[in-house]
Amino acid sequence: MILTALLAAALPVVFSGGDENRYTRVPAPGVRYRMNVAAATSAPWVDSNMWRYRRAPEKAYLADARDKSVALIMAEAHAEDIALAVQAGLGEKKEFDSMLDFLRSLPDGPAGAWTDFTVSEDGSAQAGEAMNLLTRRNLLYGVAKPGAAADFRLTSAIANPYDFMQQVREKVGDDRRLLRLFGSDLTLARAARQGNRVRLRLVNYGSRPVESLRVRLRGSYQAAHIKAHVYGHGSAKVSDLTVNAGYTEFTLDRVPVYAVVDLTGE
Amino acid sequence: MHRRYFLAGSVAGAGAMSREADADPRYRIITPYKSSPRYEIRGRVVRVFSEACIRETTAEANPAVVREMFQAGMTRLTGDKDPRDSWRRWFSKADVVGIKVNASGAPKIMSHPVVIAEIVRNLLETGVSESNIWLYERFPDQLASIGYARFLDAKVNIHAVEPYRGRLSEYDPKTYVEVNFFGEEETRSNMIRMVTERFTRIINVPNIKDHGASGVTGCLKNIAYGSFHNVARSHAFSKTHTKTFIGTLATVEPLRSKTVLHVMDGLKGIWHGGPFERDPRFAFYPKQILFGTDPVAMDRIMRDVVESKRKAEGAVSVFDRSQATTEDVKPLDPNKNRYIREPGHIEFAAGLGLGVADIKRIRLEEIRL
Repeated sequence: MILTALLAAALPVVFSGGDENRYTRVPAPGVRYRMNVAAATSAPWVDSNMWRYRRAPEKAYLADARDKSVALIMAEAHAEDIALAVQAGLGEKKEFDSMLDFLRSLPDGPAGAWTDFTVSEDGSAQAGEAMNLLTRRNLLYGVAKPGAAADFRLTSAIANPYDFMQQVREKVGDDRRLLRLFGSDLTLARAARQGNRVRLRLVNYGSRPVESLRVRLRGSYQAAHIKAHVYGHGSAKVSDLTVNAGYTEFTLDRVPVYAVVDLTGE
Repeated sequence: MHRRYFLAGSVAGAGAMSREADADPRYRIITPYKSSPRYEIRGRVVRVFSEACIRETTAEANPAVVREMFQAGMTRLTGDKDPRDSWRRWFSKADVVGIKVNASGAPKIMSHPVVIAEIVRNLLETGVSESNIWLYERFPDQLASIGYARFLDAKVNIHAVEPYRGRLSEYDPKTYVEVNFFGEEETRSNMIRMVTERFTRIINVPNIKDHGASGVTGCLKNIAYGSFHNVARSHAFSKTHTKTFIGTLATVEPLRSKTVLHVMDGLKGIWHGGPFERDPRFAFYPKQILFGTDPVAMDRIMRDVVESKRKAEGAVSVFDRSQATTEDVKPLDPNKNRYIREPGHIEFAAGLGLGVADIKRIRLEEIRL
């Protein structure tokens, strides 16, 4: 039996699965634990679809979750607010239902993306890889509409996407980035803001929960106004909160495949 | 409430991209802790030799001889007649003492359990309770391979803070060094939380070892790289930033002030391939223990021990900076090495005020039993 469901925004819709041509297939996300040759760190390689979703959020996507982590597939789609059809077998049903329950339990959050900069892109493979690397480093960007001004142009002329990503990072400045995560190379984030309300969506691609994920976020927030919703754990408190020079830091004790943090600023 | 303050410089941001390749990285130290007074004897090192301290065929140490070495070394260091008075200069009943062992090359080379047991015995004599003594390391697999528990009272704690690589739970989120070496995203190295919040005193127990990145590893590297997370990122390709990173980490409070005593276990050493014993022929037996409060002076003395042994074995100096040495590396060739070593981390640490590196100003006293 194949379960198929359409994930659109937070609300899934069961769907027949008969019109596959409507969808753009995406590979299953995950992590490859391979050592990079002579790298500075042994950080594993994250296969994420978040950049694809950000590139074309209007499309509907199809992912084969059989024998894969259906929770992760659902989490990254939810984080990017895109429509996703999931093919899953009975073996994934429990996890599918569990994640669906979690997504349904989330309160409404702010809708507008919160980013550090915008990019324009020409649809090339080089631009796609640059977006992938920006996403993997949690350099939060929005994609400008065609013809609109953007802070950075991603084109096929990018010879080395990694160097390009580092140049963008340097121009933005680590200290000035609206979000940084410490304690996990495998957690990717998306932020949304509306007025003084902020929502962080944290997708952990690793095979084990992140213990003690440190979050540094632009703005001043008090502990009472930070609510973490953690998949499999319900609501969770944050610890070791500091507010300094316009930034707030806190620790999430445990981040399994997905966590959503709602904050209200001062 | 602790005050957050900046001790040094401004961060490079993603400055690794724009730095000159050989320029020193820019570090930012974040700590709410300040320096606190302790009994220090700068520039002084006491070295005690004994031919009978360890059996080379089995690496088995002689507890009675080791005890004698401690008594001679500690009393000479402090000038006291009774070794208990020496220990009481730093430790009292109220203390919670961390013992930073070195397990990075375990189970073949490590702070010897007999040496650790003698330290614990002396602490107990000063009134420190068993449950307030903590042997600590970062990684449990290395620590467990030694079997310290067989040599110690059951109430003495043996603890590794990072059960899998990268877990931050037992590191202090408010005490860290921030630096971007090679464009890595994880730019912080946080201090172990037990160091900041639990321990009142720390004893550092390194070995005498060659080190592929830092040239040698002794007091400074053991306490620095062993008390912070995310430190191996300082090496990439043939380049290593150990020259500046080791001393920088060692200056961070409260680690610096709480580390009151260094006991260098030189019963057995490694002259090539460190911090591991990659081959039995790279092990040697200096049969000595060094005592001091000055990690720089002790490492300066230790470096000569390793360098002399390498010279005797016909191996290139730890100061060799030839790029050819780093090419076509064969693990068991003592004239090859993956990195250009940085033994100058000792002089760099002296420049940060951590101790005396000038050999002419180091007062080395030697005792032969």
